[in-house]
Amino acid sequence: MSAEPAQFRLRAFEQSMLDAMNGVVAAFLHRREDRRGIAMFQGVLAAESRRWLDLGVDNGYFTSEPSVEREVVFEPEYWLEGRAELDPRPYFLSPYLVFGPVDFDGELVAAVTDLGRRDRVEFLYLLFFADEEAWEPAAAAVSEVAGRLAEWPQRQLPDSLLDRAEWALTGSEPSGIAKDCPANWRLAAPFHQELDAEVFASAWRRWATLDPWLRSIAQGAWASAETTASELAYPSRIREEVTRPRREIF
Amino acid sequence: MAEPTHSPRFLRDPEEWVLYLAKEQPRRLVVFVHGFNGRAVNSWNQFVAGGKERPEWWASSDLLFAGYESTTDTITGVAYRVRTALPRFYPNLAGDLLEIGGVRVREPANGPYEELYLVGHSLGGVIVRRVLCDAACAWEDELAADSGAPRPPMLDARTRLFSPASKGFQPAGWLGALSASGAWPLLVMQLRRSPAYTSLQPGSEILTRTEQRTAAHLSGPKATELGALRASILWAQPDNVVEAERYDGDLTDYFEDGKNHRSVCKPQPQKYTKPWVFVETGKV
Repeated sequence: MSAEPAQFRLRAFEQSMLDAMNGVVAAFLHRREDRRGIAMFQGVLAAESRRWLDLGVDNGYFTSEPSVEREVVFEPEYWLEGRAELDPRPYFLSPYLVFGPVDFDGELVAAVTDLGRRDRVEFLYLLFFADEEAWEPAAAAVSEVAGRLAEWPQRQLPDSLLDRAEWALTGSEPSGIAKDCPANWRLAAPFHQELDAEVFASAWRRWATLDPWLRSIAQGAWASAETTASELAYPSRIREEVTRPRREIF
Repeated sequence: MAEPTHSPRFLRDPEEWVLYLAKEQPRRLVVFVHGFNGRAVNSWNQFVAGGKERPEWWASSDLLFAGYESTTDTITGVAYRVRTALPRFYPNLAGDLLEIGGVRVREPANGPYEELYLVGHSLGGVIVRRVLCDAACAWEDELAADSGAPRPPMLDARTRLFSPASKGFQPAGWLGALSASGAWPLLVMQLRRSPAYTSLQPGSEILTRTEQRTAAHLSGPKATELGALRASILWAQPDNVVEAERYDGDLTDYFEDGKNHRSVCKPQPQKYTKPWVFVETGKV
């Protein structure tokens, strides 16, 4: 049996996008105790997948009435328990644009591949959803790195410490993600203010607890190093930090 | 509304690879290998739009984007993965790759692909060179045991490299600009934990050996059958990330003014079409 391209794409979407999201969720459920944070993360990913479907229909990427055979898998007890208060809408303020099927295709692939990396997912979880018990040790590891290097810039730090701080250095990648695509919430803080004000303020408070120059590195890493190989070296947001005397940075 | 010419199929084995299947029967397979800290598809920006921009060539091409973790994987490890995985895709695409959920995206081909293109950017260029070098070594071993051993299909490839890091990163390149910052020690520590980054230091053993072995193959008795080892290169100008120096056996290289290391491999419809032309022809 052959498929019409649209039907094929719907199946590709079901299989790949939902599997990626389920994979993210499953990985966290097995590792984390923060059930409410995980449930919220699930809800936002589910809302994002729904938006991709709607946008795909608008673009003629899917058949006109897609019936999704599989949904993002939730752990019912945690999801249902707090469903009334777990509203993903604050993460999706801006209406997405109607772009062409080729653009949609590219952005969807970017969104799926972007979810496939552990460090980036960790970054999203910690910044947006984690409770304080999960956030504080993660932020403390970054602060410890900053503190040790401030004392003695050339010292070698143990791998175990760098591993714990790595989440801040390999975040999500903004390049290639269209401004108003459904995955944009992942890039919203600290670069944009397109989230609900309360969500943004919360994420920004967390982000702001990081030492300034580490934050700037994380932003650079967030923009991806190869990218930015050049961008890491010369971007305006880092140039400002680089050219400031260190005593003002700390 | 323009209908996309390709459909993406995400692969689990190898993980993070994405195969863009052409809607029409393809004549060729084009394999892309991204650079340091890049992504399987994103690093190549709009290459997929070639199906619309230059349909006579790209609409009849399947596109395979190889993904890997440049901060943890080694060059030789990724090269091995590419070399061992490629037979599943070329010369004949495994039938199961045309199906998702029991639905076939297009009819199976009546024969193998006619052409193979290997395209690498930066670190991906080194990986492509290593893939081909190792394939040539393996063939040499087979020939030693059986003088009639056929050439491995991947050595059919035409090789196109964008600013390859064959000679390593420039010591005073992009990282040099950061060396004055307080962030430098951390960045260095992070990068040195990456085996690929360490291997991209000029004069590293892996870079040296890959070049030496490639040169040896190209001066050996089977040189005329190893055209895949002769790369066509498009350099960014200026490129402050890698040493812009080709191998002696490479084909003509070209320089693209106004493009940097990152942007040289990213085509843009109507604005920067040379990457498509370069992959097609090896020229600009």
